[in-house]
Amino acid sequence: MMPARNRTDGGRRGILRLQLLSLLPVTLAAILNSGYQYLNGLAAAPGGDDLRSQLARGLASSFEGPGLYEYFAVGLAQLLPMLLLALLVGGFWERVIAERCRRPIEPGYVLIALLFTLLLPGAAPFTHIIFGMTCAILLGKGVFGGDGKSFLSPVLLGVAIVQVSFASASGSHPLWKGVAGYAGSDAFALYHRGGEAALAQADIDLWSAFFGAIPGPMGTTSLLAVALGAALLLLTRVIAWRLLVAQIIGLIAIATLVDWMGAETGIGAMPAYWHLLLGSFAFGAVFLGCDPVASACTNPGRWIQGFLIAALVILIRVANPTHPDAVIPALLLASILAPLIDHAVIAWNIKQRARRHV
Amino acid sequence: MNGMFELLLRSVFLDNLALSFFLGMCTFLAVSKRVDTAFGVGLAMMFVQTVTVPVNNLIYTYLLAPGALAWAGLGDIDLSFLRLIAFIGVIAAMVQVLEMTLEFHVPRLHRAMGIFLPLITVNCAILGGSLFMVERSYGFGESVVFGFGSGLGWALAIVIFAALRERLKYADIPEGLQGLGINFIIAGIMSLGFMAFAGMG
Repeated sequence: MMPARNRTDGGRRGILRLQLLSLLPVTLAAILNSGYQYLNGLAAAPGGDDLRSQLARGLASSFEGPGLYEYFAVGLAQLLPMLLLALLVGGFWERVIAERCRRPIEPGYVLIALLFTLLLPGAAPFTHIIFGMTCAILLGKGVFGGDGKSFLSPVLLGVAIVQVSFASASGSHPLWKGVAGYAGSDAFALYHRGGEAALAQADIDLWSAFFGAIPGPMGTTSLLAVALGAALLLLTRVIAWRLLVAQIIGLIAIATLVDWMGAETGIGAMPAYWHLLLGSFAFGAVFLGCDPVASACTNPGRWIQGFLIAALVILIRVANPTHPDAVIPALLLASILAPLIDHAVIAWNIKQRARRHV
Repeated sequence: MNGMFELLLRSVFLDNLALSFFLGMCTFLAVSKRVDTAFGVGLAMMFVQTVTVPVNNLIYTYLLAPGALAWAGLGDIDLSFLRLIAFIGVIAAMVQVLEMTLEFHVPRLHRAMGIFLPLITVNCAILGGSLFMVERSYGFGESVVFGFGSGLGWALAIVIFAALRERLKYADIPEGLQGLGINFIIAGIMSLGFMAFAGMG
């Protein structure tokens, strides 16, 4: 008979496998889109001098003309070095923690590294990856005692720290610029600047945004891929459906409300479907917002937290130009509030039951 | 009216006394083991802040500020160097009066606030609130709103912090970080979360 401890570890590993599997479509879409953005951008402006650009340029020069295979190869040359570096840094700190605190090495860092890489744009410098992964592993889970013992997703903390630390003084974010050498920018920032006209100029319509052929953080562009991953996670009950549904309904409802209340221009007038399609909301909602560690664990609490995330995303998008995409700060704030939401729900429940049984 | 509302939101979220200025940290770290006690101290803080900031505002504008004594014919006297000691005295006196009034008239509320009412007399967030009021030259109405808002923001922060600490009861925190160390890290992460509001106009 297996000791209970190993059995729970087995369960956790099963969940980890499912989470990694659900990220497969997103990763594929990220690779294809990175290649597509890079090869399209190369025509507009020649790339930078870093390793990834040289690799991608070398690959691109040996091609006849861009096609699916070429996109994949160039995209892989972009994403793979980043992912390997993230895994290396994560694994290193995991080892250090394991040795210092005499704990077994936990495999959770693989998921953290993958999610972290997918949240970065193809042009993110290696220093950001090293710094962000270090913060994610050490501050996000190491100090709390490992996978699942923290109150927030380590990925979220890592990305938030990178975003805050490397925000340039001008308010426009280095991370939000497009692929290296590509003069364009993230699709959400395009809308921020020029509305639908800017999107049309960059050849972005509803379909290209749905399939993910738009500039932006690598893993977050394709709604289709995110939806496939979400379906797997929902069917296997790794994530709570209430949380996801609340976030999506909340986003659509609140965006429509803000639009209807009479915002004429800017993000306030952005239709709900663009809120869903552009930027990293869908990705964040599924893979970070529904993280069972970082979210409320009572059913009413899940509804409340989902709506809260949606409300914060819209609020920050509309009112705070320093966080154009708003998903990372909104999710971070919501997971900080999650224990309080749970506490309130439980206290309310106790009161109701006490009243019923006087 | 719009400006007042903005000031309220600003003092609750953007300029949160605990998470943006790290004021009142001793109470914040010491009395946040349980959500219930944190709620009590938050309530007391809100109460005291809402009363003392406007009172200090009156005292400053009519007694201490340069030229404030013009109504008594002493327009060229500047007593603003007495600001610190006057504010601390006012806060201590107000808390005493408040405690006695509450104990007599609203004993339930008094019991909810318990020991915290006299405890936060020496809380730096309270004095900080009054000093911010002078520094940003708020009027009387503004200082009512600011006092209430900053107290509410501090209360919100400590209740969230206590809930996080309760959730982390089963976390396996490394030896060297247990206690104060991890609490500082949590407070830092909370502060990072509240940075979501930083930059709002």
